[in-house]
Amino acid sequence: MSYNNSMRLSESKKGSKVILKKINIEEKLESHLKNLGLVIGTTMVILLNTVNGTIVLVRDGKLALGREVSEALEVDIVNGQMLC
Amino acid sequence: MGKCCANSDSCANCSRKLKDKYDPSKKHISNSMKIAFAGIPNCGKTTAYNYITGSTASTGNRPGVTVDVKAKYPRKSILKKALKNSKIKIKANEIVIVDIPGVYSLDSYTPEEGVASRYLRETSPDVIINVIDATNMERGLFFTYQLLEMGIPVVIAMNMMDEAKKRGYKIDLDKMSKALGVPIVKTVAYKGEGLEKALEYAIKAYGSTNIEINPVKGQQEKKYEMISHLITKCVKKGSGSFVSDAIDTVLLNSWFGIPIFFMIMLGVFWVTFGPIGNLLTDIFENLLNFGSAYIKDLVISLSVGETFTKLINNGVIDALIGVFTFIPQIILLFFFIAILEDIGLISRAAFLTDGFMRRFGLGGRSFIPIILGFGCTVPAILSTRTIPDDRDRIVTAISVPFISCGARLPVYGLLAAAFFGERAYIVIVVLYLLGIMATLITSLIFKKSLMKGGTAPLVFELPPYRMPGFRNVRIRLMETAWDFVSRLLTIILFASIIMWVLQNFTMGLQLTSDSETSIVATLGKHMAPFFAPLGFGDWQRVSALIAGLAAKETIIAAFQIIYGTSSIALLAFQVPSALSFMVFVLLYVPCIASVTALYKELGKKRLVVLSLVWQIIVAWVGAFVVYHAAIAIGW
Repeated sequence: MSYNNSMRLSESKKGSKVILKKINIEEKLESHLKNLGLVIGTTMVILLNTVNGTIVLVRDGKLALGREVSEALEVDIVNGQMLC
Repeated sequence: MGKCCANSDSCANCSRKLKDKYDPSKKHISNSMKIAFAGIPNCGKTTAYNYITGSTASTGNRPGVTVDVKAKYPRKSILKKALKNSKIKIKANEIVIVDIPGVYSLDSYTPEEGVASRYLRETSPDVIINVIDATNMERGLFFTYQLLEMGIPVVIAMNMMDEAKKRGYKIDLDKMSKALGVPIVKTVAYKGEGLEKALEYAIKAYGSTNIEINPVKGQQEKKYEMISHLITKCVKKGSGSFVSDAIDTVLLNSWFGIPIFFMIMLGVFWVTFGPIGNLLTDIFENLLNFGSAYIKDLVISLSVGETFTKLINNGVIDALIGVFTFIPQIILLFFFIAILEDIGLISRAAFLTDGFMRRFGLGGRSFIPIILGFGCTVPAILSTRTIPDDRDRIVTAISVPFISCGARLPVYGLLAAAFFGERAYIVIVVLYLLGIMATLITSLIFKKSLMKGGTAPLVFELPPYRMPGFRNVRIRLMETAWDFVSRLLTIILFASIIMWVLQNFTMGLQLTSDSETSIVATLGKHMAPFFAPLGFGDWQRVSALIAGLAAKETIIAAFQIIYGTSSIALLAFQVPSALSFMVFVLLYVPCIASVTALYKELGKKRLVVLSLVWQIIVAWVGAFVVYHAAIAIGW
């Protein structure tokens, strides 16, 4: 699998499959995100991207990430992976 | 078994008192085996706890329903079977089942997670039944690894297996059990399936150290990697729910989401306060009147003296009936809140309103206490524990008492129906909106002044959509009805009797038939001038408002006692004063229980006093503005 198009999660399109590359957020929240399964290298599918934030499908569950969080997550889009 | 506290009423070792000995939540019952249900939020721990113990603790389809540690002895029938199968001899009262809030990690992020991790770290249960949602296994197993690292014996209850099966999951539990080194039991908690076996395994595991894996302390990445390998070996995953994704696309849409949610809430209010709610209330009222007339006749026929007859018939029966009439509407409102919660809509509302709430200094998580506040202020205040940021949590707890709870309904029901007839429903909806406005304005003021600071970013797991569970909803409604009846027969009854005594005795404790010379009149007259600018500056209505501090429903009971009947009380009002009275009831201190909850959550008397003073100021100003606006309009 090859990756390109590094971007913020908030910029990714609905239905795209992305891999988490970097978390640019304060330590406590970063740790909470990791506890929720958002560790570097995790694959997730964007279910919705709105002004309020992003809903991602990750590890069989849906996570609601507010705008501030989705702007702090750097992701790589997986080539050609539009799931819906 | 431990030695401390075993056979004495007080314990020299831990200095605990007698009363604590019988509270199963206390750690020091060290001669009891403590079996704790633990797991990530919304995996079915409390449902399992309810089944095993026969409790009716609140459950719901959202994270953060359980915010405190609960403990109870298991049901005898279940324990008997579990003990028989485990072949272990232990007395029934030597096993305590504990339910703790859901938590993703022992490094707590929210205060309610702090409650759970503190319990696990400091109290150390003897055995943990780790509940895992089979359709959301990875996060569940992440927590399992942390529990295993603690060295406490663990039994896994792989829950929601029916849902996993429907979605095509195939899980090799034997293989997973061997890999983790702990027993795994298949469960469907809401049906009670597998829970007896889980309890049996937990009893067997007591005292063992069944860990065969090398703990990976810290390192979330490493743990998730191990979990991925485990799942690859043991689980064939099923399909996701495309229907759920499609519903979310519409419901969480930036444009349609809020209007759809608003329409749903409007529908709830229309059914509750509109024709359906009114019809149910009328039917119920007729039944009550029929019953009360019979009881009153019976009391008169007993010839127990005029004063006592008056006390029972007017001070108790009329007062309680006046309040009890509104129970159908209160139950309807709770029914809809339970349905919305069970479907999974309340959590989604938190995401949807995050941007909007930030304009008032709070995040979307603060919206959950607002919705819960429509039912009762106390759980709404307690639910602020799910808010990670301290300032946001304090401001939400201070703001949420303005949300109109079910106890205020009887007052609106009486006044709005009398003065606005068919349009009463609109007036009540406006009052609810006014309560939300007061909440948001309070948040904004506090976040711009005393509680300055940013708002914690929104991160939470969305629950799956589920059909409302009949059992859950039934339990919630039974609890609501029971809670209402018990308030009626305790606080409201007590307050009504006190009110009747104050109304029928003079300051010199002489019986009087002239209420103008009564204690309540004397006291009320001192306070009345404060309320005169609001249109109800007479001792009767002021006294009713003060009685309402015990519980808001008591206002109606007080009307019955002071005026004789509610319809006579209505003669004291005109449209402007009725409106300002309802606004004051909406905005002033909800009840003593809410003040206690506020103190429990805020922990500082200074903040509680500030909150109470603020509530009275807002109520006074709000009622003043509404009263004079209504006069200016010519109502």
